[in-house]
Amino acid sequence: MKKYLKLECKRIAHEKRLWIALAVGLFVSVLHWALYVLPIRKYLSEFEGKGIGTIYPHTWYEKWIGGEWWTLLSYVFFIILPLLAAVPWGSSLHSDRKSGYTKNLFLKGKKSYYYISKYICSFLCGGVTVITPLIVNILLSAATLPSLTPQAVTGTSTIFANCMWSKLFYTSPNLYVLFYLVIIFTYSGLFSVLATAMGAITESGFVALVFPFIVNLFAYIIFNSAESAKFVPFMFLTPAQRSGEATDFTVIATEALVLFVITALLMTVSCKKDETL
Amino acid sequence: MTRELMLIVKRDIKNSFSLNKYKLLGTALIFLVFCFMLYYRFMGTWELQGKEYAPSFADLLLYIFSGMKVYIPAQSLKFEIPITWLSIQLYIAFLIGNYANRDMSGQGLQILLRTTRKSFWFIGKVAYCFVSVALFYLTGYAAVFVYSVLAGTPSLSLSGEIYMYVVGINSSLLSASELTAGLILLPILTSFLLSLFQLLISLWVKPVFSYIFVVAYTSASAYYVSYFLIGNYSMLFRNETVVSSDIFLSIKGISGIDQRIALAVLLAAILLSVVLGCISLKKYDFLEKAIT
Repeated sequence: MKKYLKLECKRIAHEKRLWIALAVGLFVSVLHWALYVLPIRKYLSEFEGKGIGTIYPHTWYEKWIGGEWWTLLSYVFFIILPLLAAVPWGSSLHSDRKSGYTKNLFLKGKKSYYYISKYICSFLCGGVTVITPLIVNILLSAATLPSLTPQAVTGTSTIFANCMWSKLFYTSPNLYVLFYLVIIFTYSGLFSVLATAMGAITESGFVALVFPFIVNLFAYIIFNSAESAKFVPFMFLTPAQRSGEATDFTVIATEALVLFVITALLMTVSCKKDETL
Repeated sequence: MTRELMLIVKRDIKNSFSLNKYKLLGTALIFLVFCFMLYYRFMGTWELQGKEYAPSFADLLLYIFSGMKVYIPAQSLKFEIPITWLSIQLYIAFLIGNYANRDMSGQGLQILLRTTRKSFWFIGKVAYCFVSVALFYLTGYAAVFVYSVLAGTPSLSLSGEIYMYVVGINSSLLSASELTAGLILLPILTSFLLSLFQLLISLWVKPVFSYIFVVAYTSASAYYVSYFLIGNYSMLFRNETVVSSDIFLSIKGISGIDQRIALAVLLAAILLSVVLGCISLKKYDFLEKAIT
């Protein structure tokens, strides 16, 4: 098992698509900082020597790429999230089976170990690919704007009183961001695994890679028409809470669990049906 | 030579039918969901007024292809593209997918090696894009028509004032020709050009990255009003007549998209893309691509 994990990690590190996906994510993230966060810095001069009085400076918690809902780059980042997560390692199972690579692997170790390590590595790879640009954006934003606790009265934040974890946001914003990063990491990982699992079923590597995105798109269409935006991953994965007061942690946790069960089942079935050797 | 071209084009047209037949079921489903969406929006408004009404065929089309109102960026204003318009563009990009890239190996590679001109292969892919886009729209229009027949309102008349109240477009401002162009001609041509962009990009990078490009470009089209962002052409909300009727936008100095200019730009860009594709293929190493 360890051998498989090591091998998968090595292969991921040498995968060109991982670096391209990271470059795309970082490009969006850094551009967002340069266009929308950096220009706000000039307003900080108003506080020099005066301190905080009747006006309150902008904090990075409400300006970073996940903390707002009005810029194009924030929208683009969160809508392409399933694609970014799936691109680096989502079609690996498909190509391994197609090229006959698995035949060589199964000579050296157990088939089930290969599938388990594939699941773990795909999950981690998807999560890391999406979370890295977000962390870079947070670091850049935190280096530009103050880390003051957001104040509801300023009206500059998208988190309202009835929103999920609103109390946490206005008392421990670092913890709020951290929790959201964990959610995003989990979902990105699951999207990547979903693509990997689809690779065993579909004939086309492209369909496997785009599948998590298409599932998201259909969820968006169906739930939006039923006016239940809180079920749409694109809506609840934005820390700015696009679905507003409807965001519900129970829904987020349940959908993650459903995705986990589906992907685990798909991988188990693929493993059992794999007749290589 | 003409016969050779015809054979290649025929093969690609056949493929556009056979490869997309199941995906087109998804198209019908998407359009039917849109119809229900509008029905419920109308119903809510009507119930308040104590009336009974079902949207007509034309109402449904106008709702689906109206697109997004001009967005003025503001912190308090959430940027959200209407799912009706967004899903049309992104689902078409899914239909186009990696066809060209996949056809560089196997049977497609044999054609490339035997054909007298590489550009014939590319023209075949252009035909694939056009037929796939046309099939998508035909399926969509058919699904909407079937829905309106079942609902008992397959008429082409628009409900005017009330429609403006629900969706926000004053349809009486638009002439019949503007409506026809905005609901049929421009959306099809825009999607065709977008698919050509996707096709051209996928010749050089992995198809999934060209898909990401389409998603980003489509989103940018909804965010900014510009002739450079062709997604604007397929939105009736961005029409010059509609935009100029909005006093707030006029004060801001924002002008809409002139349909005649849009049509000219689309036709010129389609032609340019085809020529560019044919030229760029001259130095293209298909064998290396097929191996990698």
